[in-house]
Parts: sequence; C-alpha cells; structure tokens
Amino acid sequence: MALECVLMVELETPVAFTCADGTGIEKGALLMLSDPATVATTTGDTDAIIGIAAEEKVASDGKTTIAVYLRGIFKGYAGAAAVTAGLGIISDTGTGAANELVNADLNSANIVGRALESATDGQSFMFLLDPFNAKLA
Amino acid sequence: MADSSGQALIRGIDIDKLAKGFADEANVFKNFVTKSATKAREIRWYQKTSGFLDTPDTTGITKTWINPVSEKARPMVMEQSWTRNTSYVKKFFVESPTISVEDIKDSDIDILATNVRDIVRGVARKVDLRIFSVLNEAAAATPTIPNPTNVNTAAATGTGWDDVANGNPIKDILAGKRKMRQAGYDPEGAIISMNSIEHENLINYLITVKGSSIPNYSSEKVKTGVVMDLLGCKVVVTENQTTDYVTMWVPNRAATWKSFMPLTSVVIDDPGIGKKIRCWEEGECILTDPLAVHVITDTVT
Repeated sequence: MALECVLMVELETPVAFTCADGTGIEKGALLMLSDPATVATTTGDTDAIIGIAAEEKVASDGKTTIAVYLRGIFKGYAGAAAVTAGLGIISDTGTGAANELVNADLNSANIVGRALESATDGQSFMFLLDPFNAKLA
Repeated sequence: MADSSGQALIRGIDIDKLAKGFADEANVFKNFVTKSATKAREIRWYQKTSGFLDTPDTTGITKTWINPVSEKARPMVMEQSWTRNTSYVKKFFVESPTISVEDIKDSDIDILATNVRDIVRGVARKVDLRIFSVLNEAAAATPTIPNPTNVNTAAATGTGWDDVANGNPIKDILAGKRKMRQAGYDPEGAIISMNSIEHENLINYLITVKGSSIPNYSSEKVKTGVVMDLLGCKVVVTENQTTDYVTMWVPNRAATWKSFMPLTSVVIDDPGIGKKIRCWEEGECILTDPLAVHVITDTVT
C-alpha cells in the first residue's frame, strides 16, 4: 500500500470499529464500511468510506478492532480526475492508486469529505474528513 | 508448521534501539538578538531617527545654523524625531497525534520522549527562521528569501564567493563592516551568518586561493554555532541561512525577540488511551536597527 493519508489536525479521538483479523491495514488507510460496523481498506471507486485508520493493524495479530478517525483534517493524494477546493471527494482506488481521492461525480454518493485545496493527479492536498452518504435517486 | 535448522523463522534477531540516521541542526539566530518580554500581543515601539541632529534645511538654505552664530542673535531650533511602529506577536503552535499508551509502553524506540524533543525543536526552528526573515526583511510569502530594503546591502564581488578569479569575500565583509560603521554602529564582534555552502567557499578562498593559514575554529561552536572569528567578526554557519545570501549584524542590537509566551510544551494525558504533546511559543522579532544589518547578496554563482 501507499499514499496513506496523514493526520494534520486531530479534531477528535478515534473510535473502534470491527475489522478482519487476518488482513493488515496501514495507518492512514481510507476505510470503507460494511455491515455490521466493520471496516476494511478501500478497494474501489466511490466506496462507502467511514474514516481513516488511526493505527496499523497487523495481519493475524488476534485483534478484530481498529481505531478509526471519523473526522479530522488530513493530507491525501489526488487521482487522475483531480480534486478541487471546496468540492466533495470520493475514493478512487479502482481507477487510480490505493487511497487516492478525486472530485465526486454529479449525484455521487459516499462522500469522503471536502477538498480544502485543489490538486492534480499524484499531488497531495489537504482535506476535511467528514464522510456521509445520502441515498440518491 | 514447525521449523528446524536452516530455516529462517527460528533465527535470532538483534534490534539496535538507538535511533540513527539523523543529525541535529542548531538553532542559532535567537542567541544573537536582544530578548525581552512583551506583556501584550500588540507591541508599540519607536525608532529614533538615526544620525546627528542638525538645524532644518530649506530648499534654498542647506547650511547648518549651529555655527557660526552671531552674538545677541537667538539660536535656531532643532529636535529629535521618532517613528511609531506597531508589531503583533506570532503564535508558533503544533501538537502530536494521540500516541497510544500501548505504543508508548512497548515501542523499541522512546517515541514519547523523542516526539517531545523533536516537536519542541521544530517549533524553535520556526522561531529561528522568523528571526532570520525579520533580519533579512524577507517578504511574508517568501520567508527564506532575503529582501533587503531598509538594511544595508551589496552584491558580492565578482559572481560570488565561489568565483575564485574575481570573488572577494574579505572585501564583501569589510564593505559590510564599513556600512555599519558609517551608520554609527560598532561592527567589531558582528555576527556573519552563512550557509555551509558559503562557508565552504570562504574557507576555500582563504586557504586555497589566498594561501592563508588554516583558521582557528572556535570552541563555542557547540553552544552557539560560531565556528570561527574572521576580521573581528564571529562566523556562524547554519542551514537556517538561505544560501546565496550572507547576513551580518551587530548582535544584541540590530533586532529584538519580543517574547509573549516562552517556548512551552505539555503532555496531555488521556487516561487509558494515550498522550498528546502540544508545544507553542508566541512572540515576534522586531528589526529595531536596520542599519546595524548588512546583507551580502549573490554569494554563489
């Protein structure tokens, strides 16, 4: 893995979520949510991101929870579609590299947060982690 | 599966827990400016007009009326003037992420103590760079690029100190001393701050180009960054100084660091979860005597 997010302003303390014991998770990885309250590293575009890993999860260390930042200001990396200051952003791991983020499409669900600065493919940028998912038509 | 001889999983491993691969750069500028406290964030201060007083000139009359003065005549008036300035303190502030109690307890390296030390040093470096910016009148957008405006300044002789044919760092330094002296300051003991690149070129000039004996190096280096005395000045080498510029100033005279809150660090305990390190300093550097500073520009080709 690479291009993990880096914490810039810690707005709140991380919260524990369930995770698989057998899979490692990098500190700073974008985490997608599945039922029930379970997280795993993002694998695709427009994943249902819930937060960012606050610690490294070592594969098969016996732990089935991981601390997750649900909100905060982070440094992330832009995918090929770029990000624009002020716009909502989504995961881009399917199209781009792992943990990359891009501008949300029109009517896009699974918003990770908002870009606080503009960046092009491969550039780093600051963003507000503030995930939400509206059910769209 | 169990392992036997010749298999990697049962081999021992030696872990050297002493962190390596780094060297600390000293923060030196603060050592050579006046330090005083400010009790408010807004600082009002006054600059006295430099030079000797004389009677006012007019467009047509530019002579002094101090002498000769005829008997029984009233004397002319002259008085001092000041320029009022206002500065505002700047806050240098940073914190660590929450470091879990587990990481603190079992990490091979002492992550809490190392973070405390390096976060404090990081803040101190930014304060040092702020002092550099003020001494060199750098613009806010380019704080590491000197922009000498009110301070004395001159371009290096030739194309710089690495110009072995036409460069002349000795003359550049002497010109700086002269300008400070012409402004009324005693340049003896002035600080000459330079990047290691300029230091390399200076020593090369002295020894290789001019055939001087190898200069004595000062034992003060560890404390203050002073590496040697040259022409009655103290040479300080620091990576906080931007290359292509050499800055000379009268220590404890040219600028003042006004401290609103001293460098402070605290460890915030979140019981059972972890600790967070927070560090701050508040103050501002004031260029009180710009003519006690001389910036040599274009010191590298």
